[in-house]
Order: sequence, then C-alpha cells, then structure tokens
Amino acid sequence: MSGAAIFTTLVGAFVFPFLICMCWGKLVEQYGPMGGWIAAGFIVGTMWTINHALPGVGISTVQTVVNNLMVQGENAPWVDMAWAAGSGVYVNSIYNGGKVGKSLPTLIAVILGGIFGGVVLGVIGR
Amino acid sequence: MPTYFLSMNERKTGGMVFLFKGESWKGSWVSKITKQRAKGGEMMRSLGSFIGGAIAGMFVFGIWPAMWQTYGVFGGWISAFIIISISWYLCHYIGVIDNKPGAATVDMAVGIAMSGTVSGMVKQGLPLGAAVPTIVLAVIGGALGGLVAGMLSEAIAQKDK
Repeated sequence: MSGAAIFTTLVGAFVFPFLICMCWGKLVEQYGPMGGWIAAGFIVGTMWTINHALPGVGISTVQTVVNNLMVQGENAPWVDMAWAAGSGVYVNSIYNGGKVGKSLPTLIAVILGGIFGGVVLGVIGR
Repeated sequence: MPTYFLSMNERKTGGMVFLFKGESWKGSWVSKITKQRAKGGEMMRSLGSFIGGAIAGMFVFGIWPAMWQTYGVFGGWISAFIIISISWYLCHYIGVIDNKPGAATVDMAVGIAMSGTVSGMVKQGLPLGAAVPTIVLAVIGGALGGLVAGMLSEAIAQKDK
C-alpha cells in the first residue's frame, strides 16, 4: 500500500463517522424518521461516492473493476467504509460516556449477525 | 395474550390477579412465568441484534453491487437511500439492535463491515490477511473521526450556552 493510499484511506475513514456523529442525530431530531432517510442518502450515499465509487479517492484507492466486486488490496476481501463508521460511532459514544462493558453482548451479537449475513451472501454467490 | 400474563407492574396496578387461596405473589407460578418472560426478553434482544446486523449486511452487499453495476455511480447513491434508510429505521429507530441506555452505541455498520469482508472470503476464498492493512487504517481513521466529532460537538454546545 503506497503512502498516498494510506493517506486517502485515513481521510476517507475520518470523514464518514465525523459526518454521521455530527449530522445524523440532528436530522432525526428535526425531521423524525424521515430525517434518517435524508441522512441515509446524503451522508452514506454521498460518502460512498467519494469513498468507494471514485478511483483514487477515499478508501477505494485501487480502481475497482465494476463486475469484479470491489477488490481493494491485492486479492483482499472488500473492506467497506462501514468499518470506519462502526468504530467511529463506538468511540464517539464512549467519549460521550457510554460504557464498553455494557455494550459487549450487543457488539458480539451484531458481529456474529454480520458474519452470518456475509456467509449467506458468499454461499449464494453475491 | 390473557391479562394474567401482563408484567408485574401492570398486575400490581389493578391488573387481574390469579393467585390461589393463601398463595403469595413471591414464588407463585405467575411470578415464575413473569421472570421467565423477562429472561426470554433479554435473549430476544440479543437475537434481535443478531438479526439486525445480518439483515443490514445482506441488504447492503446483496443489493448495492447490482445497483452500482446496473445504474453506475447514481445507482450506488440510490442504493444508500433505499438500503441504509430502512436498515437504520429497523436497527436503530425501532431498536432491533439492543443499545441499552448508558452503554456504548453499537452501530449497524459493524454488521455491514463484517458482512462485506466475510462474503468476499467465503465467495472468492480470499485471505483475510490481505485486507488487514485497510481494516486497520479504516478503524483508526474512523475512531479519530468519531473522537473529533465528539470533541467538536461539545465545543459547539459550549458556544451556545
């Protein structure tokens, strides 16, 4: 991984949870559940465009061949910007006084769920 | 559900009470069932977290690539709008993922991240090791972003005072 790739990956990973933590809650406060719809489009969709869809920007530093789904490193499985979002939101709530120990059962359950979902997708060939 | 299966509070505030003659609340069969139901509720919440993560991951990596391949970059943007919105509504607005008050927030993104990486490993047999540098960078960058966002929103709130 080149120096530029390390830099763009860090920047892309920084901006995504930053936007989520700053804007998502406020949008929901203001518009209710529809605020979540707006946030999904304008935070996740827009960040996806810069992080994954464009070559050379954000986390996707290697041009991804569209029908060869998403290979970023050399023969590496896809690393989504969700990695950044998950750790960012977690650290943000720890900073705001959330307890790690209390959240561990949920964290483990969600990780297992994600692995289950990934296995299902892998088996059906997505 | 018959009324005598209501929670303890509801029973104490005028719900129907089905106790045998001379039987106290403590140790009665109703209280045992109530306790069991509370335990079962905890298990259901964990199961809900599992299901939430799984559904979010499957939606994102089942639908997103197809949309992107079919409609290009705007297809990807629309995917976020149609997938993340309903997944967020399910996982966090309704609360399928069990974020207890006072606990650190576990985002559905954790499940999505796992799904993406694991699906590549299962489908194409790719080694996890090759993805580790990107994962480490993404996690570090994300943690920094969350931390700075927390500090910044605190500063903004102080300015308003």
